Amino acid sequence: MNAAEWLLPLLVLTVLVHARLHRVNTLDAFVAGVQEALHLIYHLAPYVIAIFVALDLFTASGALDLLARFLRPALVWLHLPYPLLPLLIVRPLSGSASLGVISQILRSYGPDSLVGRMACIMQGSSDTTFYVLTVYTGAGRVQQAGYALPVAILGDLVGYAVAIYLAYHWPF
Amino acid sequence: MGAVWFVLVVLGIVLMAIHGTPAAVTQSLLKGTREGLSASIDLLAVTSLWLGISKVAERSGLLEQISRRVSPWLGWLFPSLRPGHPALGSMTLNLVANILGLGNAATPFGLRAMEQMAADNPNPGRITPAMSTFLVLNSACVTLIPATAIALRAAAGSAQPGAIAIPAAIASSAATAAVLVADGWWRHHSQRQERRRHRQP
Repeated sequence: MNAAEWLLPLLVLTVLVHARLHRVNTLDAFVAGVQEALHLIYHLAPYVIAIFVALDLFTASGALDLLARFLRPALVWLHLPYPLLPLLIVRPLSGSASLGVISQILRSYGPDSLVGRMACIMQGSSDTTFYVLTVYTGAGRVQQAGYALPVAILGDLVGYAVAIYLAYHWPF
Repeated sequence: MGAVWFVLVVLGIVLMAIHGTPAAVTQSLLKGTREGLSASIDLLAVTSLWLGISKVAERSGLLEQISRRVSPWLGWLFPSLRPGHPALGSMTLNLVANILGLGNAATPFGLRAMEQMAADNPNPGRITPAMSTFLVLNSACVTLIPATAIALRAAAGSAQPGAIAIPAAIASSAATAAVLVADGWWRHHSQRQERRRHRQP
């Protein structure tokens, strides 16, 4: 899949050349973007740390095993490998925490393993549903998400099911 | 969220005290903190790159150019918004950023779109059909290039970081199709109920 690997370098190249042609100071713009990123992470990092503390305790204490034993019939039915359970639990709640869980998975299983690929496909094809609903309804000055909540959950389930299926059957 | 965190930590400490030793609890607490910090730094690297590049695209007008091309499609997705509604522009930028996998860049545009829809909400405080459609689209991600996942794979030393791009795009499209169908059905259903309620005085 060399074509897919060229997507990002080409995208960056296009953006930069296009900006230069329009007399944008690319360095200034890039620096301004990175400054926004620093701000964002400054606010997000404490949450990431808090969630890692909870997740590490949750896994190391065996609580995850208990939950997994409880959920095993569903996991088996979904053909979902066991290490992906934490990802499934945190993905709808926090983007940064799920990125953390994925880096953990990639570190222990390798990015080109079945588990590593499945985690990345699930991450790349879903969003932080509960976070999005909370923040966006807040911005829209709306008290309740109404039917958007069940619809969004349905979408997540469909996306995960397809992601799991493709991780097994896609010709990598 | 706060309650979930509390339960996870307390449950973890109690279970660990039963199964292991207090020293293991302390060790795990420190390990979690350290891992959280190092994950934050990884995250900072990924976001810095993408917010930097997207800022360049924003200043050169590239984002807006793409937005103008996608706008006519949006009228079809949001029939209740009049053509030229200010929210349509923000939505386009939000969706384009999502499609390109720039999730962090998408959020500011998405919040702006919600504010612009709230401005002429006939029932303030109640969610409108257009808001619902926009919410579920964002929850389904609509990503064609999962940039963050690819960057993470590259950072982890993958031989083919981009190999997951097409399967992820297919899964995301399936989720998007599912939410659009369900949202359309639910909107139709609730509008019929509303009309029925109006008929009975």
